[in-house]
Amino acid sequence: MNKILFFIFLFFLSPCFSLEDAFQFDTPEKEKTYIEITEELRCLVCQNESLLESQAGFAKDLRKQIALEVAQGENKEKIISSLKRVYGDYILYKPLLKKNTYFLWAFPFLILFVGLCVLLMILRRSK
Amino acid sequence: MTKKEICLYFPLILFFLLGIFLSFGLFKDLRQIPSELIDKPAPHFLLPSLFDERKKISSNRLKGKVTFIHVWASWCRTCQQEKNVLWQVKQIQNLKMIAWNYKDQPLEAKQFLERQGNPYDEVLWDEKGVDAIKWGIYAVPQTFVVDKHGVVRYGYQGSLNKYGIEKEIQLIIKRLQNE
Repeated sequence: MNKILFFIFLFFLSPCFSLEDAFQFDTPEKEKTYIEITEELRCLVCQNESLLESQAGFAKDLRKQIALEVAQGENKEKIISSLKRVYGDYILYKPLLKKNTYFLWAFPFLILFVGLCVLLMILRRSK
Repeated sequence: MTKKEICLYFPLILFFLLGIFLSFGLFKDLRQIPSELIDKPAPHFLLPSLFDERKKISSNRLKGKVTFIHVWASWCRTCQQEKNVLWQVKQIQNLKMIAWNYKDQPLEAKQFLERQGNPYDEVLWDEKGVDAIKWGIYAVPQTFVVDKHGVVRYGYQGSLNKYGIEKEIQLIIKRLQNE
């Protein structure tokens, strides 16, 4: 029984590492905003991690800055756009829909379309 | 090749074309994110001097002369190999050279400059990296060139000790000085 309990507690321990620099907000909405922003932004040092997950020094600094601005009551769009102005679109995890990303967004649907056409052709022939 | 065969091989051909297209990404330097500050007024900073904490240096000082700004830290290995390039830049007349010491221990930063020599006119000490965020700095070394009017005209992320970079920077500085 003790062993089982030990493993259950061990399981709940895992999220603790990310609380290293947890910030206190006076309202749950602000905390939600903070998490949303840091989840949507990319850490430029560990490029496949969001700001929220990354343990890089850069991510920590930026999290601190974002937490400060959220605590002061800045809204999400303003914080993201000010960071975008300095770090560029690359800081956004979800690429914007604009001229140079049309292909990026359309490509999966294009492949799906081609795949479906091929499938239809094969099915028709097998009949 | 009959029509039927073309149809049969079409997905395979598409797959290969996609493979070729995506393979270009393998040779792209993902660390090289172009600076968004180019052609924009230099963002504000107010930082103490590394050698005298009471002396504050502000971004207002960037006007009047072309300024070369180099962001570095003593803990950065790459920064230790840039000595020669920095001294080459120092040879350019009528240029202001500013070092931006990023998230470093003052003692170690000073020792670093003693070892490598100090080609800079001013050395900023950015202990927490807060002002660095305004400049889009996320890693060291990083280099900027600001023109006489305080507008950022060049940004480069990575070691200066790379073929071609030294020439490129010298050319840009000279061009801006003649503007």
